[in-house]
Amino acid sequence: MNKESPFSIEYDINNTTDAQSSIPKDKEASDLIKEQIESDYQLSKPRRKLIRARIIL
Amino acid sequence: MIKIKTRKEARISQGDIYKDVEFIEYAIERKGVIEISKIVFPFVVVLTQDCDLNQDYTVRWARTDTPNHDKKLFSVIVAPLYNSEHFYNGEHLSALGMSMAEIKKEKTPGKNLKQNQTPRYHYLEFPDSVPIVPSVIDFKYYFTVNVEYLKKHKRDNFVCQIGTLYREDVSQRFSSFLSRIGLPER
Repeated sequence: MNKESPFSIEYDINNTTDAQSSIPKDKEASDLIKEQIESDYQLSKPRRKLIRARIIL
Repeated sequence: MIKIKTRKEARISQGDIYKDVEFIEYAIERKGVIEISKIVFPFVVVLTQDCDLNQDYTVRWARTDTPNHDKKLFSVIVAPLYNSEHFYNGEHLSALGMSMAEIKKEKTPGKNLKQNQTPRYHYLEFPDSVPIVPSVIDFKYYFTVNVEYLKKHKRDNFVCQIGTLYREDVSQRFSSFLSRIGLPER
């Protein structure tokens, strides 16, 4: 199983089999990805991010 | 179960599902420090009418001059998808400090939700080829996203598009919910 985050660009690139889609057509690969995304999704709810930065003019 | 399309078009389309979309809650600047609060939604579906999106795309990216910018949009309406299991438990917004109503899955409210008999909610079950668990849209929670941000975001974050008829069903139920009339309680 791929260890990259399923939400990363690298993951999409490495798992794309169809130039028109980011979803692999192979069922086994798709199941594996689905499992991984499901487990991530179980943990992944909408989340807040706070960013603070000093403005340099 | 809904039908989906996995073909990625260049433009944003109604029914598109994208992952990791950000909603800016606020951006304030005070004494040279800028603070930005944003919420990242794991999955959202596009609700803006497809003809509006098509016209915006044509005007925005047309190589020839158009007489005016009458068809250009500021933003695109999207609604988050929530994991249905989180949703039944009322925990889908817990990471934002929000506790939502529990919906008993095996009782009438849960069954009504799954059959899309509750105006506020839309239940979606995806084919095996799509890596999204059964999900719920809550029509009370939607937001808008800048068109150009979303178009760039689509390149790496497109998941699929809800198929024709199914996306119209979502759109029609969304507009019905928004146009409801709240009467005073006696």
